[in-house]
Amino acid sequence: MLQINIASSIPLSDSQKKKLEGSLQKKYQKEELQFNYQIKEELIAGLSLSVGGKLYDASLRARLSQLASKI
Amino acid sequence: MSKSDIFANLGSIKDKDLSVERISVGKVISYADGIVFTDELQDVQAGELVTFDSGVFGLALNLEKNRVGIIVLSGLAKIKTGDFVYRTGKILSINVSDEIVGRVIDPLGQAEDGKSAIAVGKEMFLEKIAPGVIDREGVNQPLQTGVKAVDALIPIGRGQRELIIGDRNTGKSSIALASILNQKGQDVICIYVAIGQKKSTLAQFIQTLEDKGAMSYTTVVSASASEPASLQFLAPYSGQAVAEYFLEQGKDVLIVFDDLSKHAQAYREISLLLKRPSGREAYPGDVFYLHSRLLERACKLNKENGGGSITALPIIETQANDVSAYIPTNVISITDGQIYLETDLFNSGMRPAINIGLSVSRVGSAAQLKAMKQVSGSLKLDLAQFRELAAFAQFSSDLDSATKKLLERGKRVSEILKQPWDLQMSVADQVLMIFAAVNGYLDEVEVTDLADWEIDYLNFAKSSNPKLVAYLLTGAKIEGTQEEALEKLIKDFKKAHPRFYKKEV
Ligand SMILES: Nc1ncnc2c1ncn2[C@@H]1O[C@H](COP(=O)(O)OP(=O)(O)OP(=O)(O)O)[C@@H](O)[C@H]1O
Ligand SMILES: [Mg+2]
Repeated sequence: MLQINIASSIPLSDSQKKKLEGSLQKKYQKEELQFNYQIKEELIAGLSLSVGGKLYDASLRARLSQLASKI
Repeated sequence: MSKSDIFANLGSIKDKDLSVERISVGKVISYADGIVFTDELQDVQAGELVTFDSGVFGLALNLEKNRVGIIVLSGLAKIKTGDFVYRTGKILSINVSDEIVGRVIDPLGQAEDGKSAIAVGKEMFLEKIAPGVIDREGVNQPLQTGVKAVDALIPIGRGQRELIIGDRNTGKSSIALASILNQKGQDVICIYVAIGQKKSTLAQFIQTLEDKGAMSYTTVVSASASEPASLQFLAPYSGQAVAEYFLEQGKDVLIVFDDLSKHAQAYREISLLLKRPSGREAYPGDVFYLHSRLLERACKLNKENGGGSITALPIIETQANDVSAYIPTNVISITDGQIYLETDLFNSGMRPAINIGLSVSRVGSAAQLKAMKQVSGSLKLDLAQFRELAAFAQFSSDLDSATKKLLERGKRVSEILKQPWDLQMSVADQVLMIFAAVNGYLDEVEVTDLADWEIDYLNFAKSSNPKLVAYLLTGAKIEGTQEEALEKLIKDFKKAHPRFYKKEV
């Protein structure tokens, strides 16, 4: 089973979760997925998703730190 | 950066610069004793700085197939299992600016003295490849410690690495401290790295530096006994990074590592917790490299590279005078000589408790001041003869007068090498005393009176022949005229201070 960890700054609504899970299931078609939800206020806004050793960080915190490193 | 620059930069940032990237992360599996293991953190490099979710920093030390061993550098309490670990792509560095002089910092460059943060200057790497042979030149300038026995017999040159080694409580730190105090007005930046010491001991040490006005050219890097092993392990490298900042400006730097035995122990602790295989005395296999890469960074650079230098005084504590233990032999072989201190000497009142016979300086004599070299030549001979005879004289009661004379001379010569730790002696003071001793002018003074004789004589010299004293201060060669002046000075002193000369010889 593939573990997918989803962190968001505020709790996600059921419909948001469903949408997210649906699109992820499409991406990892053959695999069985398990979704773990977590609240991380330090993300400020948005969410981050980690699969295996990879992190896809779409939080505001990541944006800001990218911006800071570009200046 | 100015405000307009920031706005110009903002304009050039593209959308794609801010897109969601796929980055490697690890997850904290276990955490104990300042060591974190994470599952694989792809592409991480050995020695790379990593960050945790909570903003805490760590250093990746062990790279294994399925896990990475990380030492945590700060904020130990904030780590939880399951936290992400991120690569930074950077190796550890600290911020150094001119303002760091006079400050006490921790190994991560943060102010430890309760004053403001160190002003932003330059990022200096903790690990750096030592300058190559081409960039260096031979040691050619003395570093006066102000300690007679050292400057005369074990002279240290700028850029040298001289080990101070001995058992507990033999005056190791005192020699290093005296050397720092003696750099006042010499345009030398001093760095004192305290590793695994009691906070109270260090506080006293800093107080002394302050009282003697030495903090104005000294930086203290502190990782006391209560700090985690990771910080104690990093402390000498931080000190070296500060030293290199000033080296780049062409300055002369003196750095003291007090002490590398505790440093090796901190590293052993880390290595055992990281489950590295251990070898002799449970130290890991790379404990030699731990110190060699540190001490190789002491150097004397040539003119093209600024001509600066880093002189290193590492300290090693031995157990029961055993210099053949693992860490002592390692560090002895890395350094350019050693000052060997002994408990027996210390207890018998011979302080500084330097065993002259076992102490050497392999490169410093090339840099020794001319006058010092002149007087110390006969000093060495007198001492060697004395040691030989003293051992022999224990067995025979009736000695011929020549032997007796040599013994008496020897007693006085070694007596004048005694010195309170907090008394800095200038080149002139040292030459005045050693000249008197080796030329037999002290033979008629009682050994027990010598300490007083020294004080009075040095004052007498300063007031009655300041020109001569000024000349001696330069360390220039003693010619016939100076020799005559010195002889006259002692004769005049004898007349003025008959109380030292009651006895007829
Ligand atoms: N030349 C000296 N004359 C008189 N006392 C001295 C001299 N050198 C050191 N001492 C005294 O001896 C004591 C021990 O000195 P110091 O702390 O330098 O030794 P150490 O070898 O560094 O000890 P430790 O093992 O605790 O680090 C101190 O109280 C110091 O004042
Ligand atoms: Mg000490």
